[in-house]
Amino acid sequence: MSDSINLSLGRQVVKTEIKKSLLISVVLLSAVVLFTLILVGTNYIFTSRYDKLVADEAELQARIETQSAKKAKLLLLHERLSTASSIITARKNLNEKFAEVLAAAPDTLTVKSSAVAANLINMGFESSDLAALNEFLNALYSLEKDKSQITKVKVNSFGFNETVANYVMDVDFNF
Amino acid sequence: MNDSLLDFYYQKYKKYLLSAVIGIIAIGIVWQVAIPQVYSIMQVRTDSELKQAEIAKLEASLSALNSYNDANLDDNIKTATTALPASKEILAMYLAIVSASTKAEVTITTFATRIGTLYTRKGAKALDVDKKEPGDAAPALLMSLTIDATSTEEIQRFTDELHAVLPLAEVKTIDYSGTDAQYEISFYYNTVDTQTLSKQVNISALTRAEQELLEQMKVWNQQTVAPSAIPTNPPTPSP
Repeated sequence: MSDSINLSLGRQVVKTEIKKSLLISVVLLSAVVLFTLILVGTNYIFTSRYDKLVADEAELQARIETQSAKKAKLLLLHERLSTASSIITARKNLNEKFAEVLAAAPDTLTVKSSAVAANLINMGFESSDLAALNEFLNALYSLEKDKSQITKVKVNSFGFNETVANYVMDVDFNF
Repeated sequence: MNDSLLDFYYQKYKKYLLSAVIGIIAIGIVWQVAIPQVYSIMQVRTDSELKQAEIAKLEASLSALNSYNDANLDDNIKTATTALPASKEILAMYLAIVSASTKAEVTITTFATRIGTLYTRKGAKALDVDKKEPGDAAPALLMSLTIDATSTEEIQRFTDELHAVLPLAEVKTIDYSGTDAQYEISFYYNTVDTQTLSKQVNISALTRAEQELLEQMKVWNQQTVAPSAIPTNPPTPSP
């Protein structure tokens, strides 16, 4: 009798385990299906929004295309201004360097010749006043020390020219 | 032997077969449907963000286009192309040096330029067409000219004025001899690259810097003499 009771309980345990495992698998499947449906729904919403964005973009492009002539003009204007700006920024103002050299020269000095380029200015000075030339030479020392824009000063020649009856000096200024 | 073993396991676990099948279906759904959906959502979100950015740019482009009227735009382009012509503009260069000399009160005695190749058939080799010098932002046409100058002030004035006329020019060298000064001046031009321009989708309104540059160019343009100021006939020799 007791054996049969024990056997009966064993079958119930097994049946309960089967039911439990079946329940778990059904719940799992349901959860998976529900989760998947949520994902599909979300994907649909996002895709719909994306499709609307694509349509909006196409509409905007079409509206811009109706003004293609104006668009071409505006692009051309940008391109001209951009290149012009680069030119203005890059172009060297020789006057600035020329003025810097001239500012150091006393009034009694006459510029008889000059050759101005981007990195080098050669100048020929003339004066009847030796002290003025000396003063200028001293000023050149301080110019070089200041390192304003000038990187090197080289006096090519210094002397007295009988033809013009003046002291003459030829100087290179490197920038 | 194998069949009996299989049969043994089948008999032992057949009660769980349905649960196992349901579990496998669940895994299959996750693998085949749920995971691809997650990837798809992520991809669509990324694409949407990019598309929104593109739309914002297009809206800005449209707004920029609507903010200009054709007449104003034409006027601005005229100024900009006067500053930076699309080709070698000899007349514009001449007007520029005449304007600068008039304002600087100096006399131009000679001027010359080597125009070089104006056109080549597509694909033909032409080294001097639209060639940029190192350090230059655009190709340039080099002009040599001589002015009467007996002082450095005249040179400085003329040099300053050359930088305040259009087309944009740059004084490359000045050679002063005491009685005259020889100049080498680069006049910039830049061909319009229509292919590159046509590929551009987004347009922006002029920036403050661009507007200021345009205003500056208009001032410089006003300082440049009109073509009508140039005599159409050469001077008649006196008897």
